[in-house]
Amino acid sequence: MHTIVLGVIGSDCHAVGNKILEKVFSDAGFKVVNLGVMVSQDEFINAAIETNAKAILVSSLYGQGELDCEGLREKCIERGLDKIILYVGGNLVVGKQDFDYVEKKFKDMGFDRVFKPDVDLIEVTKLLKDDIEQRFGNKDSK
Amino acid sequence: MKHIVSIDIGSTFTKGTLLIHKENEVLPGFKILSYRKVPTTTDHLAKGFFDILQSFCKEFNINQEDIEIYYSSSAKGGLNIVAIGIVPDLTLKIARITALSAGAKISASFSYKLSRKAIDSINTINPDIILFTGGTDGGNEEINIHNARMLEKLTIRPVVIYAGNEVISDKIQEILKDFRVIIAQNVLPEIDVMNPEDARSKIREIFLDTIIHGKGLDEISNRIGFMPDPTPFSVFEFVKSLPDSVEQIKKVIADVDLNLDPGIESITGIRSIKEYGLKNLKDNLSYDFKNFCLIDLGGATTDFYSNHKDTISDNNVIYKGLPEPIVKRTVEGDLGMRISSQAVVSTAREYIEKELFSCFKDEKEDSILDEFLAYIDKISKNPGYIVDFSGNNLKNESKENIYNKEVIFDRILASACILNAAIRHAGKYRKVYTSDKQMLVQTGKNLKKVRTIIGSGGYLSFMKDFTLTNFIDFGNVSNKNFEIDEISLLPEKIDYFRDDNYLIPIIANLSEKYPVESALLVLSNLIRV
Repeated sequence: MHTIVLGVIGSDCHAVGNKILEKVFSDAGFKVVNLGVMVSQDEFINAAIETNAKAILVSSLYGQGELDCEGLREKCIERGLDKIILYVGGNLVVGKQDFDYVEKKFKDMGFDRVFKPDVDLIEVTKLLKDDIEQRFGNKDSK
Repeated sequence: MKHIVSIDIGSTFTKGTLLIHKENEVLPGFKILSYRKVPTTTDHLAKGFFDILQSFCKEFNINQEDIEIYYSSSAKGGLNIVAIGIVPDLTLKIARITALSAGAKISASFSYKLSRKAIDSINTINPDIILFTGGTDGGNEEINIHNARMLEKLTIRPVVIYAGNEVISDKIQEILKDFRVIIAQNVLPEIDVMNPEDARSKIREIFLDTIIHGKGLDEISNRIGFMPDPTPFSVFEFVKSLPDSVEQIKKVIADVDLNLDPGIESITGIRSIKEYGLKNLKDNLSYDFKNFCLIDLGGATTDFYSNHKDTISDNNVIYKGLPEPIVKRTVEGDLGMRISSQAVVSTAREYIEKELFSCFKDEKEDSILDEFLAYIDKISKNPGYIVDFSGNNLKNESKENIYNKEVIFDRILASACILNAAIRHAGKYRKVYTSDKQMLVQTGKNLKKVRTIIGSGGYLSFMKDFTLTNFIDFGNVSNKNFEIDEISLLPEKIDYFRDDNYLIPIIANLSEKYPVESALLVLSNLIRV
């Protein structure tokens, strides 16, 4: 079973979506470490190191995701998580910005995938399984 | 009627008491018959122990075989542990909590991958136990395996307690095959589940069956037939059991208006509480002993214990980090009244200067500071030094009341130790501005609602005039820090109790077998100041 770390980043206390994500990913066969709301970059990384997680799934709903996510990839590399998969999703920026632009911005920051708020979560669980297998190989699924 | 002896072998003094246990009462209780204190004979710990035991036998004409004996020891450095974890805020933090709750002294801790330098320093420290943690169950393996391979390079052979990711425990044992490796349950099986108990009891077992031999305690255990506990382990057990015992006592006291025996009469070396013990007990029972802190301020360390279940009911507060244990011990090696007094000055210099200058307004700041530092120099070299208190009245620190400056120097030192130990034990609020409101992020244990604080240790037990509420303003600390968006979650309203006669460590030995009797005696002896 693959372990993934889940949480809402920064000073964001939107709790509902977070619970839904936990349910969907658990049902899809992941071992979910849910850190809840108002999670700092260090908390994500700490939990991922101790649990040997394959991916960190970052949510942000309050429009300040860009500031909060800046530097997360670099910090992961710095602390030895050089292979970890990073996903981000939610209302990532304030106002109506073009999603392609937003996606590029977060991919440049080092996120592997970027999701709109209305994405089909079942699709995301499938993508995640594929991504994990591709990066870590099949052998690791114990 | 059964005779019981409890002895605590401390680093400076060995203290012992002879009690009788009275079963046939509404509430079973103890009565102290005798009390002795002798300097600890470090080169031969058994000597002080048996001197006390034999003097009791002689005084009351009883056979050693007829006595029930309990003892604890913190002599020769107590129990010395090196803690290893992966992330400092996660596994290493629990490793430290586990070791401290087992009554150990943590001489070093290491996170992430052990370096060659770390191995050198562990060799130099030469700990009794290495508490090796890291990873949740099924979690990180790589760092632990690296660390096991590094530990293999040690030239010393301490006992290794492995309490990390259980999936690789066989592998760890295999790598460390030249060591005695004890496998305990993981201290962090899941990222938000703390599990210190199993590792804690394994530490105790190791202390009992291995380590005491090196400390010269085996001569005692060979003759008595069993082993001592580390002193802070006993006190931890006492702190844990007190709320339940108090509940039981309250039930009985409410039922019958009985004439309880307070348990201490006039005995050499101990103040009688015959006159006020019962009244004390009744008064004290009206205070909260379900939630409380205990400070043991010693010459070398300050131990801070709390027993309090912290529940967050405020919607504006979000808790971050590992859940805090209900019963918690922290110990500060840089805070102490004698051996560590130099360290206190470097830790709390600003606070000490402020107190010093406000107590001695008429004197030149430089000269009073020099006097203070000279005093620190003196006492750190002579840890047995006791200030002549006669004729001084600490309750009012004016010139007319204090003839001996050392009385105030000691008081400031004590305040600095308590304040810093409390701040480190307690949690914090941090102000955070979210998109729609201001929230508080809590880390650590919230002690704001805890009222009862018990002061114990040589200084706090015998310095009658020292009242926590007079000298330390926890509220002020909290408010001051609030300006920089942080607040210490220290008690707001304090009911302070002094452990008169310094009974707690010695009675704590008895609390595992006799929780109610121990609570009864300690409560009769606590003086609210």
